[in-house]
Amino acid sequence: MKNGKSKYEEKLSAYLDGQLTPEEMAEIAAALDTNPGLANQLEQMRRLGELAESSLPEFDDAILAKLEQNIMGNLENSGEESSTVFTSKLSERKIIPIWQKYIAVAASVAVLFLAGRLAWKDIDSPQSSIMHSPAPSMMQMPLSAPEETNDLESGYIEDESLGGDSYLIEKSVQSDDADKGVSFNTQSIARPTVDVESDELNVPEKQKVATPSRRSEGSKKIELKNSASATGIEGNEAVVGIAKKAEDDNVFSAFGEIYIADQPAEKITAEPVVLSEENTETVALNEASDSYDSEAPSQGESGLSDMNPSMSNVVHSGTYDKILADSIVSVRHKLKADMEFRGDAQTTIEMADIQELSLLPLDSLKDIYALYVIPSKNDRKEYLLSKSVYTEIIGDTISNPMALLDSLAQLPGIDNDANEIESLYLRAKTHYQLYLMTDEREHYREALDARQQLEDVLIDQMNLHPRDTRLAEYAKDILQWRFTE
Amino acid sequence: MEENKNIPVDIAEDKNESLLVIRAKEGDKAAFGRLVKKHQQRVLRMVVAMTGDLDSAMDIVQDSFIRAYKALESFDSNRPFYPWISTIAVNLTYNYFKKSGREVSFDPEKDTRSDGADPLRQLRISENDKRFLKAVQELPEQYRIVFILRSFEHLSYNEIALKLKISEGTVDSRLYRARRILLDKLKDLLE
Repeated sequence: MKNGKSKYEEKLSAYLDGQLTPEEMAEIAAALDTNPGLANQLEQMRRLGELAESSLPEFDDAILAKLEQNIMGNLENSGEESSTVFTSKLSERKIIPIWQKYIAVAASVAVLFLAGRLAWKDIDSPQSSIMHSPAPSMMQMPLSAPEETNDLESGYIEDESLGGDSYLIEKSVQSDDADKGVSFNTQSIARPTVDVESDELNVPEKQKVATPSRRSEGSKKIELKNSASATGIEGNEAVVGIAKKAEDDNVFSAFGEIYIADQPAEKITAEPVVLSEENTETVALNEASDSYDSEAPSQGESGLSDMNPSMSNVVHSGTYDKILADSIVSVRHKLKADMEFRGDAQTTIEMADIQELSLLPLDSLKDIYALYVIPSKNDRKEYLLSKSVYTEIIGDTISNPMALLDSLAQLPGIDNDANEIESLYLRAKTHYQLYLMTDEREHYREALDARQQLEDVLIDQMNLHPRDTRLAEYAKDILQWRFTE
Repeated sequence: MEENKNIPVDIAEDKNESLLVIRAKEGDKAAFGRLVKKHQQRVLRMVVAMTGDLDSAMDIVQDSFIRAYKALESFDSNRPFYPWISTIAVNLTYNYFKKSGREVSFDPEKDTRSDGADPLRQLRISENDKRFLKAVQELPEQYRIVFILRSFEHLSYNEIALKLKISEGTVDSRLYRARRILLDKLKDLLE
């Protein structure tokens, strides 16, 4: 007996639905033969099903006609634009191969490269990424966009042909001074790594190649394709590339961009690359504009300094929060289609979603999505334990929620709900982190939703196990979590 | 998938539905209208069962079809339409519960529209059926949706688990608990 119910009673429901193994079915059938009370319960469950069948009538034509009219009328009026908060014009954005239009620009770049002022840097591993060798003068530049500019547009460029961990986020601002053209604040994403033994998160420094920078009149973004990435600055022209080593060790995929930088690089780490039609593609930058409006927050605005104090533990460098925030924007965009497919703008980001997104810099998102991308529960726990900062994000009083949840899972009678409790906890936490990083209300609402559901489950469990004092204690702790908006 | 007993779907109909989806994808709203006409009854019944409120259910079903239309491009026309639209409707109902504070009443005495009419009266259901639906409505949300998907939609445990992104074990336990609660509340009706 468990909680006053026989083991047969608890299986009656599944028996009715034919969800038991043949052995269990036989066992219940035998019990039914000898236990009239049990048989009576089964019969009542059957009647319950019949009641469900008959309780709702077919709706009459008037109701259905009204519904149909509303639906079709709405379609006629709304056009085909999506109205969800995840609306993105991603699908409308086009990477336009307009190499030939701008061949002169590319040619001039090729000349710069060929001048031998740039050097290749091999990228055998994330740790040896080009991001580890930034131009010192550029690293000292402020994170924020130039003060003299007004942000007019932002967007990010992505190239679906790239695989692995690479992508480029670009944020552009329009200068007040029309003569200065468009300035660009470029985010280059590298892969952070975690050294569990030393408890260190190794975050490659972001290379801010050109901020503030000016794009030369008529210049366009040049993408490097199927070639090693390059970084370096020639004169006042800067190139930043993000590379991913392909399966074939000799082939790299890369982005590159050409800037007018304010100051020359003091360190050149790339070798010459010859730009050609085969390995580059010119992209019209304005095509990249899309609907996300979370422009790059500066540190003094909505960036690190304004975050919850616990976030300062997450952000190991002044740039990391920004990189992650932009990564998350990218994730959101990429998941948009799937979210809409499921008709649920509040879909939790799942491991499977991320795995399908070959462009995502998984490692750079690892800290945020650790609990999704690490498949093994033990590994997740180990990771979390090794990163104590992550146990403090939501609750001030819970130092080790994973251990807490593990304990919760051990309680009798709730094993079926343990996974859900954990899942809800992770969802709440993840979205709260995302909210802190992106300042997007949608994530705040998601976090509250998940927390509300978590409360529901816990309360259900407490109702089902009223005498379980341990459960009550755990639930009490969890329910004390508070979000800071 | 187990088909709803009330709505048998034969192969010819499936092909016809695929064609409708293809045409709707191409912008043929009339084709989409036929999909609406075909499935709205069943979707509406499911949502009414979940919300206990016809007006809210109408809004949810309307929104579900509109969202489906906008996302048609991503829908595989070889797949049956109903599971997709019902998933959308379930998700939107979930959202509705959240936004409305989960305190959705299924009290025929109180649940009236602004014009004073009882929305449930339009359903012309018996007092016993109202009692049953009220009891269903009073189930904890997590249990209620599982119960409805099983009892009204006849989805298998696996299908429910996939739809709600929970384990089959959780489906089992929630369904068991839902039934236990309903048995206690409706004992006199069931004996």
